[in-house]
Amino acid sequence: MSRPQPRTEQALDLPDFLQEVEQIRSPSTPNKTRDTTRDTTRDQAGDQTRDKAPVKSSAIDRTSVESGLWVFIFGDMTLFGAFFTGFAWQARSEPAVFASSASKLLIGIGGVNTLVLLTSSLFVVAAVRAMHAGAPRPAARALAAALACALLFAALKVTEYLTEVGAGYTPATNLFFTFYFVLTGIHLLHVLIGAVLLFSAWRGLRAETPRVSSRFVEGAGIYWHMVDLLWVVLFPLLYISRLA
Amino acid sequence: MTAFLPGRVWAVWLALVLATLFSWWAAAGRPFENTSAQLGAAIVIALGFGKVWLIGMHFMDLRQSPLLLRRIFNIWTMLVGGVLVALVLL
Repeated sequence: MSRPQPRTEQALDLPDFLQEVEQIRSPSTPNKTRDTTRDTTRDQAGDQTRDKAPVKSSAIDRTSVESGLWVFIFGDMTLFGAFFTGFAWQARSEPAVFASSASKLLIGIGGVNTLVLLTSSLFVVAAVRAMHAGAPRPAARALAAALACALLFAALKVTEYLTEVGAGYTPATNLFFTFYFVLTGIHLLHVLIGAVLLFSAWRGLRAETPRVSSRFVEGAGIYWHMVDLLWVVLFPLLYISRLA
Repeated sequence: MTAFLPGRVWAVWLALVLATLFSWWAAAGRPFENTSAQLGAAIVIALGFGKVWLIGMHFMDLRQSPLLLRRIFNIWTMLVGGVLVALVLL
């Protein structure tokens, strides 16, 4: 029968880890159960870090909690970055096909949709800032405005698809249109997911007692800004190809 | 609800709108046709990545986030933007 091994100082068990997380989330909350010797070491290390890069405690709080979200955001951006590069690479091999195909796109709808998404992002910033100020009602109104922009974007995009397919341009037409429908289709899926998140946040804030946290609104907001950011690259890449 | 938006955020939004209108005009009006269409496309794509950076720093609030997040975002912007501009120009 084996004897239990003594715990080493380096090992960090679950309760200790949870204490660490709680300490980061609530820096002002004193933790009386912590080992003071280890605290001193950590505080010195913390001082050095703060000296190098002064960061607001709220920023640390948000980042520690939303680290999973940021991994997803950067992962998604990397995937889209590969798509963008693949598109630009193929455009070099068939410049005439890409330029003539891009000229068939409805640039008016693409431009309006860019402005719609930029404005929706402005409303989302207003919602997050209202939540930080402890004002859920204005935050709900801002989220409703952002949601309206999201639905307008989707409606315009579907209109554009229908017009293009009606004119005989489908994903099977050529490589440009394959890229166009796949890239904008995946982006539209992101818009719909973002719209669901915005709707959930809005619905939770409309209740007598708000049922969603400021953190959820922030997370939905960061996701929505990523949707905006990806379209800001897609618009020049797809619609401006006609320049070359 | 707009009372919660500081002047800085309004200024960023206005810059993003103006940059979009310029790109739109460049694509529709083809002002670079008589000079270099490739250079025009590269300028518009670089402008797009400038907009990406503004959205990240001021809308996603990365300017107040820890250095690591800012670094990853800046690397993505410069790397993807640089590759796309190079592919258009070269």
